[in-house]
Amino acid sequence: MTFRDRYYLALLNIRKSKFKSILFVLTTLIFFLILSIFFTAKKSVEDFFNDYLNSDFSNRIIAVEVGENDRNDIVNQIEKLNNKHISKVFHSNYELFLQAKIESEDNKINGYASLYGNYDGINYTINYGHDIENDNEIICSSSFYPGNYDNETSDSLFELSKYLNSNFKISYNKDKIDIDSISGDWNIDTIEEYSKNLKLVGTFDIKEDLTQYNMCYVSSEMLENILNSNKVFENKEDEKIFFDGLPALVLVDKYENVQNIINELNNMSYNAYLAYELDTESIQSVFNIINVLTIIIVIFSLVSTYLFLKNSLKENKEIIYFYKTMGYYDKDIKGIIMWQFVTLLIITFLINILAIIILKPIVEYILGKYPLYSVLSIHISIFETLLFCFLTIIIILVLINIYMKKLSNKI
Amino acid sequence: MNLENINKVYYMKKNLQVLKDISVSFKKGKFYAIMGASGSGKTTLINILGLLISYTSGTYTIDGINVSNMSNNDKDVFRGKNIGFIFQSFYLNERLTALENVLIATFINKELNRKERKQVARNILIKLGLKDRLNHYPSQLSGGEQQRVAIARALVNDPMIILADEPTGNLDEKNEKEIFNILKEISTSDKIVIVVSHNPIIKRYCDVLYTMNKGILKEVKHDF
Ligand SMILES: Nc1ncnc2c1ncn2[C@@H]1O[C@H](COP(=O)(O)OP(=O)(O)OP(=O)(O)O)[C@@H](O)[C@H]1O
Ligand SMILES: [Mg+2]
Repeated sequence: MTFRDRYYLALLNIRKSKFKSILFVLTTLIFFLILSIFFTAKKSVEDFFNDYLNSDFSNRIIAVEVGENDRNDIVNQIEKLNNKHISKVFHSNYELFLQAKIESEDNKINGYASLYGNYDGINYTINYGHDIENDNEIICSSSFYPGNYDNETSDSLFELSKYLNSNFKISYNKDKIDIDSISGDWNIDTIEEYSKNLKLVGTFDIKEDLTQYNMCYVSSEMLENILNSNKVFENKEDEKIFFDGLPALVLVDKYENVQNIINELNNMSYNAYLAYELDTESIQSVFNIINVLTIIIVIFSLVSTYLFLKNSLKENKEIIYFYKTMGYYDKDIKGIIMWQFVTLLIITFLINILAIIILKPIVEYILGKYPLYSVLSIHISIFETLLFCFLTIIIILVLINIYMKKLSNKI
Repeated sequence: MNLENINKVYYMKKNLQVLKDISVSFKKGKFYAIMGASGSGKTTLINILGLLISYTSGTYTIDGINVSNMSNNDKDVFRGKNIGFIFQSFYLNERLTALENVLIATFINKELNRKERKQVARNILIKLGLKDRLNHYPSQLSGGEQQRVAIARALVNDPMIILADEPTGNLDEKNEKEIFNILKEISTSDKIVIVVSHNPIIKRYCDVLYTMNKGILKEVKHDF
């Protein structure tokens, strides 16, 4: 019997027992949906954490204690390592970003932004416009609070891409820092106010990059120039007190290289550690719970599927006897019954995928209403469901073989 | 088909010898009838002839091939190709139409393509007078029509041997005669037709008549 013959007979069986076939599809669809929804949730959460670890570069910043050493020496020594995974070494967090006022020409945006340099290790996904090419260009998160974002709710979020190619006024101060050597009081005086006009050439997707709102990138050279000149100290002593206790910072290119670099620095007898300590333990325990749940759900589904398939196969007894009296080979009968079930499974699988694709935007829409979850994107997991589909087919094959053997022994 | 000293024993609490030293030959072009009391072993003999069950001792050869040398698979293939069964209960699949019931049997025939198969199945049903019943389900057919579908299915692969176990058991007199006529006609086209029946009118149709009595087969000379 050719494959086409077997398939023809399998389809004939499906057509002739419509009710049972539909029941089979609906029942297996329930298992498939439970699994797909679970695996999709699992994948979304895991991808979220993994993306988060890599996208938010603050997870890739290593602090190196300065102590009594000279800050410049430490920075120079680390730079001299020429480690290709080290993107940039900062003297302190005062060199990392600039908090500045930002105003649009129509004054609808009049608030604050954190400006970061576009260093190599910092990556962002531009959703409108293009990357920075000149010193007078800026790119910002497309979701933007127009005013002082400490006081605002997600309703007031602004879509910044509307302002593409328009100019923004960026203002910051030059401060004079004077520390009273007797009382220890700090006295910070603004000695000059600066402003620059920067052109918004692009925006990035906060959801892709999992960064904070009101974040902008500017040319790193320009930012360095500003940050090196926006503070003046009364004397060397004041400068030392001002920076006292602040570690130097090392930006690493990828999250997976962070631990190696920490080890390397520690071996050089520096005291180095992750600057923004992540709560990896609770992330890990979330993963552990998810993994245990996975095992339970998969075992439950496999057992239920097994029992259900066994029952469905028994209902095929009559047709198997019928084929046998027709003189069909056992392997042909197996093939027919197998294709009958595999076809139904493929139909189930496709309906399942369709259902998930339809559900995805609905769930995302609902999640989008809660700022906490709005950055979580739904990542459909087809692979696991496909794997389960194959496992089910294997169970079917095993069951058919056992069943046919049983029948042959009876005859 | 040649049987020599075939015995069949069912091993139970009390062993039951159903067939005793059966030696007989069946030849092409003849219509054989087997009559006998209930429980005498007729169905058992038909099942052995049709390779559906095994025998306890003796030699059974078909076309010179010893059946005991055949694997189960060989038997399945041989049965599908060379033997057509007609049973008292028709064993039609309730979910399939008359045409589909016959068509299904053609799938073991490698020489035909899909189109030819359908053609062959249609032709044989038409020949048996079921032209207007092709797409009826068994439940929509009369007993005689159902039996004719079953016969069509038994014949569709052009088997050498037709085995019928009380093919008219559920039919009225008019239909009985019709079925026997069909079987008679088949036997004239160089086939072996073996029919088990309680029905005495079979004597008018068969070439050779046997009786079965407590497992012993005897030929009965009869006039036509
Ligand atoms: N599988 C079996 N196991 C044990 N005994 C069996 C089995 N099959 C048949 N028999 C017995 O063998 C004997 C012959 O049975 P068989 O079916 O051949 O009779 P039969 O001549 O066809 O009868 P009927 O005319 O009623 O159909 C019966 O006594 C029956 O009980
Ligand atoms: Mg019987």
